Amino acid sequence: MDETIGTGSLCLESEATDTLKETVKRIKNLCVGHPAKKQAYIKQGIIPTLLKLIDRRDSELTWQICGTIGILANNNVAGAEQVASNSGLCTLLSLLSSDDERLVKQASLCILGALKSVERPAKIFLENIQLLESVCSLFCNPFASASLRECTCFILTSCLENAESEQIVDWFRISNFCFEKLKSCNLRDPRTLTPYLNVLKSLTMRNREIGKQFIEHNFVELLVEVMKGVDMTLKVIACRLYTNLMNFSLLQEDQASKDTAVIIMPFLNRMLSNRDRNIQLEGCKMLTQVVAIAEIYQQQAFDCNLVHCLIELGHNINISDVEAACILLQAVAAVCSLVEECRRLVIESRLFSLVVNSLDTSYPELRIAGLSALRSLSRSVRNLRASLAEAVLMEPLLRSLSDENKQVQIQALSTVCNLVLYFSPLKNSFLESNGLTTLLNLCHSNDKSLKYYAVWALKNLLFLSGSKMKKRIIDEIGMDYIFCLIEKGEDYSFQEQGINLLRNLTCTFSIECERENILDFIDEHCYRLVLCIQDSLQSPCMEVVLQALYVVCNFVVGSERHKQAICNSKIPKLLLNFLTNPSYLIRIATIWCIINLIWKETNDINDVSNLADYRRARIASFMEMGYEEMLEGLLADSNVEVRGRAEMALQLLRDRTISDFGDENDYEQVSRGILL
Amino acid sequence: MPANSLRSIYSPKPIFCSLLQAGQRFQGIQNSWKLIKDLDYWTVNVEIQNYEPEKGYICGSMEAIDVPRFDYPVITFWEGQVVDNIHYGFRTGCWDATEDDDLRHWSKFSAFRPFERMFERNRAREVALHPLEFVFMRWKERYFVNVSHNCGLTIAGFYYICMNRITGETQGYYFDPDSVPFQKLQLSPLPRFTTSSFAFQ
Repeated sequence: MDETIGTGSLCLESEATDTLKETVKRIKNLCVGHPAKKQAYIKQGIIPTLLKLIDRRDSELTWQICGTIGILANNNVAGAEQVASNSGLCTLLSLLSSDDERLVKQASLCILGALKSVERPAKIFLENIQLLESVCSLFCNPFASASLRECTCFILTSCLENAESEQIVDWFRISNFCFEKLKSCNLRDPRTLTPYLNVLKSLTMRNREIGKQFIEHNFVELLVEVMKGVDMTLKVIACRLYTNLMNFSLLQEDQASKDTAVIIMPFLNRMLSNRDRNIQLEGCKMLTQVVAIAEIYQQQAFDCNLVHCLIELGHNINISDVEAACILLQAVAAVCSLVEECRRLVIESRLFSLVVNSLDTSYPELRIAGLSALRSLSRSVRNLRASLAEAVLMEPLLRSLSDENKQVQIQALSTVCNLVLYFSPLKNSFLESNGLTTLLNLCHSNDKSLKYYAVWALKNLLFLSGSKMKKRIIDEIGMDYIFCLIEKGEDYSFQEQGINLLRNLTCTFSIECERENILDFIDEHCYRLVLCIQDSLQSPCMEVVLQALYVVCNFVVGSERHKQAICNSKIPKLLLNFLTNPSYLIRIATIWCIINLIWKETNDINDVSNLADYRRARIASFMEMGYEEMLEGLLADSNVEVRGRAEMALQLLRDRTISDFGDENDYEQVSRGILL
Repeated sequence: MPANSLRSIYSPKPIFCSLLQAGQRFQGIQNSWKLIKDLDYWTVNVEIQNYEPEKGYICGSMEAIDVPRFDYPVITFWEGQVVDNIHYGFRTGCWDATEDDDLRHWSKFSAFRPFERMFERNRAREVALHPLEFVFMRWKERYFVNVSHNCGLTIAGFYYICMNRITGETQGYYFDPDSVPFQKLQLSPLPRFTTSSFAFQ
């Protein structure tokens, strides 16, 4: 053991104040610039010893002790942890209410240095409400010095980053104090605004009401002025605060759009182009937040060359720098989620390699970020058909579907939803790699999110699928599963996915091709399917109703048996009501159902004969129910397609001039000819 | 409805059409007159693969069967602009098409007649198109799906398209300064209306 350490510790046991002061000062001087010595002292437990020596009656000694502890804890996790322990913080915080300004400043710096060096500074305060309340009171002291304000501001903003903090303190007391201070601040020195704007920035992350009050106090103009200023730290805070207000739709759209285009985007460009890594990453985080609000901001980011900035950043960030790579990939995911030009730039750059490589790392957070970016890039028919088809994606993606980390699984599933679409060459790779088995297993997951995305992926997989694929899926998952999704849907979102599955299953483009395969699985479940559609048509959720109408459209095509099954249920009465639905989408879908029900088929899946007789009977029934009058009423509908389709349906309903043995093509020509 | 009556009543809205949903298919022919008065024509199948009315964006595939000198179908991927006067107007402004080219091609559709004068006076953008019976589009083939780009066929140009929203009957004229002018595309939707759906995550 180093002699000086031993000697120093012995001297701290002295009762002579002068000796103590000298010793504490010497320890501090020995540690400055000597990390090994610092570590040795910390290991020996010098910090708790020093904390015990704090005596408010002797300001000078206490001042020295705070300075020394500050040096020991600064940038040293072990030291900081010792300071930030419960009793240590209580002791130091109690010094902040001293009348001795010099002592308050030293204690503030000490606390700040320690808290910035621990991993989760907020945890200490969130577990000790009294401690947090005392910090709130210190912050709200109107006579607090700048250092005290800075210290308490740091604590509060750290706590507010954590969602748990919302319920535990009355934050309105803090926000009201900040509003008062902003009104009286010296605007010639904008730095005086920093602690208040900083706390308000953190408060408005999750608290809409405080955001609303910020606007009611007319501080938006102040914010815009600060954003136009030169102080980088303050600009970042102001931009974040502004973005929080945008997030809650508290600002007028036009003004927010203009301010973002003129001030925020160029500022972000400068941040991303800065040489300082911390500023670059902060810029990425802010960009992620802004562009997530609406598509227009993604377009603005493109127009302001921010995607190029991200690509440049990608050249300098190695995948081994996990934190930086995650932040960059999250920005890519956000900026590419809705704008095709952004996706194109990323896919054509080396940044795309970072996306692909991130899928295979051992860091789950990096895999999540990479998958999120890939999902955004795959939201494009063009990319799916071409650019993404070349990439080696399927193996790591399939591995991610079985990842032990649930968030990785969810992101992987979300991406698979896009990659299994009909026009994606990767669909074949997915199927050949046994991805379908994994997907079907996930459809039975007990986890609601996993199950939801798995069903979504299945729906997309069935989009324009041939009958072989449909049959395979039905054989493996069973029609019961789909009916249960709809009948006992946990919520409308599951019902909607289920009914969409049915829509895709029942969609056929060629009766001849579908004849053999559809027969089995749909006919077998015909009765239950009709009941399912009937119930869905009575759902209070209009999206479920709309999808159910499309199922009717599909279900009745080319099958007299199916048409009769529908007409023998309550569905025709429900259709009649939908003709006056406020939504033109519902009205159009309903008319299509009617058209398909009374269409003159010449081919039938079940080879039913006397199709003409059945059709006549059906039309007679529709006439009796009042369909003709209702459709006539729609000839004056405000929507052009409703009018046109209603006319088509009426012609079919009334048509007596075409022979029942006429050619289907002639029939089609007449139907179309009416409206040319 | 006369075009000028649409000017002040409505503000433009995205154009919805049930026949333009993803998965909808059309069949027809494309023909072109060669210089020596022979008519070349081939069968065309078009499939809509995505339609985003709120962006005026549409895309799909086009399969050309019995193309002269080819033993197998040639498939291309195309992207389109829907003329909605929100995102896109009648003036193309790209793909080497001048305003004269625009007028010459749009004028081939009788449905465009009410807009001719307004186009000439540069006022066609003021009209709301969503209540009309016809949808005007431009379709631009982006790449060959199943053949190489130096197969001898060109996709340098684009189609001016006019579709009847009710019947689905679609006409188009191909524009490419280096190709035979006014190659005509005529499409009809499949006889029965069935529909499948997907959604990006």
